[in-house]
Amino acid sequence: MDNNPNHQIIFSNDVEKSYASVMPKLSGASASSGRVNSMFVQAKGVYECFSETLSRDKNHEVFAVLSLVDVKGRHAQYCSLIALYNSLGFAGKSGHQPFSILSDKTAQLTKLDKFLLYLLYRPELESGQNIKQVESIFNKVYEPAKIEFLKQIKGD
Amino acid sequence: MIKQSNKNIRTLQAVTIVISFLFMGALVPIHSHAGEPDRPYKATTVDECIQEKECVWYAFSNQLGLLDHRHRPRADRKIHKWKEPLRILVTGDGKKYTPGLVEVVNQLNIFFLRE
Repeated sequence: MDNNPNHQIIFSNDVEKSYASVMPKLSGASASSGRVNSMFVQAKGVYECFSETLSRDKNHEVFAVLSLVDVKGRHAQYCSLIALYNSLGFAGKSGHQPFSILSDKTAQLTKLDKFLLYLLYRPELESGQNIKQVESIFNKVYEPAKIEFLKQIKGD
Repeated sequence: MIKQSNKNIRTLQAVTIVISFLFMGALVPIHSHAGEPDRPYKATTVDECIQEKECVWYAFSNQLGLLDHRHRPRADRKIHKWKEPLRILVTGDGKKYTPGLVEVVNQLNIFFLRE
């Protein structure tokens, strides 16, 4: 979708081969290739998709993401959406995620997923903030953000 | 008489053991359920969740990785965002999946273009 990509999504019927061919080209620019390699080793053969941040700066801003999707799997479309969703900042979840694409392999992004993205990309929230800072901002912006969001999706 | 008494004691012990097992059986699921953290929201649908602050905060903080598996805050975790516009390159055998991705990216763009 772009000539100067910062998120590469590779659909492949041989994910391991694709990873081996793409990583040498990326690792020169990425100080985190060891971490990415280790994540890939853990994920291969277990998951149908793999998505990892290649670089982020000291302020925790994301600069590059690599995603690999196994087209032999039954959930390639779902995996590509998850890769996209995770790359936007939601890669840290654990356990059951209510009302989210993360808990339903047949679904598209839900209204709640979109609202969470809408909240995360408000200018008040910045990379590098911790839970106390995020909660304090959330408490201030939740009501106005909800009204704006519902108005946006109604008019969409 | 003593034999009869011993028999009664053994019967009583057996009944006690059975009752104990019944209680244990009843306690096991309660105990294991107590090990799971409660969900701190009432919503049962996505629309109710969006209207309920606790539900949205739970989903938001959890998906950002700010909670551990027992829903306790993780002070060491920080959020990550893109500052640059997202520029996606799809390669490999992904032709049939690209339209779906483009559609979603276009849907999401309206949220980011809000100066």
